Amino acid sequence: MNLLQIIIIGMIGGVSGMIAPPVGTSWGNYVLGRPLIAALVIGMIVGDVPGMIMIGIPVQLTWILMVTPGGVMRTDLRSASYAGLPVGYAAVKCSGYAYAVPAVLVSAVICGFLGTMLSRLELRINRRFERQAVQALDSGRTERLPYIIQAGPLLSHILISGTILAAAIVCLSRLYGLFLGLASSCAVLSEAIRYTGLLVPLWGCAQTIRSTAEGYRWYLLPAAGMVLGYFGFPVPAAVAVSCVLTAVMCLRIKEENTEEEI
Amino acid sequence: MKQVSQAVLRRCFFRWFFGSAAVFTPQRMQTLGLVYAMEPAVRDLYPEEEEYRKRLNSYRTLFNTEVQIGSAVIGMAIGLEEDSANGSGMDDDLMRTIRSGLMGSLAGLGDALLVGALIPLLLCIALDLGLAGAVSYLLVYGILGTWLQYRLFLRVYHLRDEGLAFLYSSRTKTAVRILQRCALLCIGIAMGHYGLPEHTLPGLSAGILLVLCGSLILRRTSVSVRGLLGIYTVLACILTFVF
Repeated sequence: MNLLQIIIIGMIGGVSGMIAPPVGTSWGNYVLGRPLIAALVIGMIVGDVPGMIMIGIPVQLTWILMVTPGGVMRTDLRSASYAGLPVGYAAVKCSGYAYAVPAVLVSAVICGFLGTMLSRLELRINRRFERQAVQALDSGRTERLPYIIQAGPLLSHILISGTILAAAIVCLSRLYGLFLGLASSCAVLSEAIRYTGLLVPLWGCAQTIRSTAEGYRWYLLPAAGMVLGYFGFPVPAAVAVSCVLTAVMCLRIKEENTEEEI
Repeated sequence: MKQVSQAVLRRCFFRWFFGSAAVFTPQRMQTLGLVYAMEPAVRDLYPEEEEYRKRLNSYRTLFNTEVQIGSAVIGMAIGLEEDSANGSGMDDDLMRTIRSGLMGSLAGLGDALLVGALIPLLLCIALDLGLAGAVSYLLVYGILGTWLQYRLFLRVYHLRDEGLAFLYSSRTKTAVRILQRCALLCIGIAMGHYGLPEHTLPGLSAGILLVLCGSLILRRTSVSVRGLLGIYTVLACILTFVF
C-alpha cells in the first residue's frame, strides 16, 4: 500500500464512524462503517477486492450485531474496519505470515479497542462545534448552522480523524508486520496468534447473544444455527424461512384481531 | 392556511439524514441535529423573526433516538408545528411531551428492528454471497433504506399519529420478536460456515461451548467484554502449549 492509498482509506474511515458521521448515520455507520463494505472499499483502493473480502468476512462476523444504545460502545467498529483490515493485510503481506485470517482478526480487535480513543477525541471536537451552534442559536444567526453542523464536522472528520487513522495504519502495520515476522520464525508465537484469531469470532458471537438474548432459551438459537451451518445449511434459505414465518405469524395476529373485533 | 412546501420538507429530511448526529455529544446528544432539521420548516411557517426564534428555541430540549426510524419524529414534529401555526391550540409542552414519548419508544423499536434484526439478517446473506453480497448490501441497505426512511418521514408528516400506528401494532411487535430470533439463528448459521475454529465435529462442539460459556460469563458475572477477550486469549495460549 502506498501513502496515497492509506490517506484515502483514512479519509473514508474518518467519515464512517459511529460518533457523528457527517455523511449520515445510515450511510456512515451502517453502510460504510461495516467491515464487509470497508473490505470492498479498501479492496478497490488497494486493487485486491477478493483478498480483502476474504479477510473482511470473519471481521464482519465478529461484529455482525452491535447495539450501541446512547452512543455507548466498547469497540470502535470503524477503526476495526478501516485500520484493522489494512494493518492486518499489509502486515501479513510484508511478513509472509502463514495464517492471514487469524492475524487480521487480531489486528482488527486491537484497532477496535484503540479506536475508542479516537471516538472520544471526536466527541471532544464535537463539543466545540456544539458550543458554536449554541452561540449561533442564541445570537439568532441560524444561517451559520449548515457550516457549523455539517461542513465543520465533515472537514474535522476528514482531516483530523482521517489523518489519525492514516497515521495508525502506517505505524501499526509496520509494528504488526515486525511482530508477525517474528512469529513466523517462532512456532509457539505463531500458533498463539492463530488460536487467538480463531477464537475472536466466537468472542463476537458471545457478545451478540449477550446483547440480544432475552432469556436462556434464546441461547439455543445460535447453537442450533451453528450446527445447521456446520452441515452446510445456506443462510439465504434460513432468511427466507424466517421471512415466511414472520409473515405467517403476523397474518395470524391479524386474524385474531379481526375475530376479537367481530 | 400555512403549509410547509415540498422543497422545505425535503430539506428538513436531508438535514436530519446527514446532520442528525453530526454534532453528537453526551450532554446534548441529537438535540442540535433536531434543531438543525426543524429550522427550514420553522422558517417557512414563521416569517416573523421573533416568533421564528421562539419556536426554534423550543426544540432545544434534550433529544436522542434511533436516527433511521427517528425520521418519523421529525415528520411528526413538522406536522405538529404546522398545526400549531394554523391555530390548533397545541402548546409547547404538549409537543415536547409527544416528541419525548416518540423518541424513547422509537429508539427501542429502531434498535430492536433495524440494528438487532434487519441489519444482521442482511449482513448474514451478504457474507454468504461474498463480493456480490457486499455490493448488494450497499445497494439494498444504502439506497432502499434511505428511500424507506423518506417514505416513513412523509407518511408520518401527512397522517400524523395514524401514520405511526402501524409501528406500535401487535403485528409489528411480533414481527420484531420473530426477526430477532431469526437473526440469532442466521448469525449461528454464518458462524457455522465461517467462524468455527476448525470445520470438524470437535471444532463445532468447542465453538458452541465457547460461545455459550462466553455469553453466560458476560451475563452472569461482572466480567467485561475486554475481560472475556482476555480469558479467550489465555485459553488460546493454553491451547498453543497443549497442542
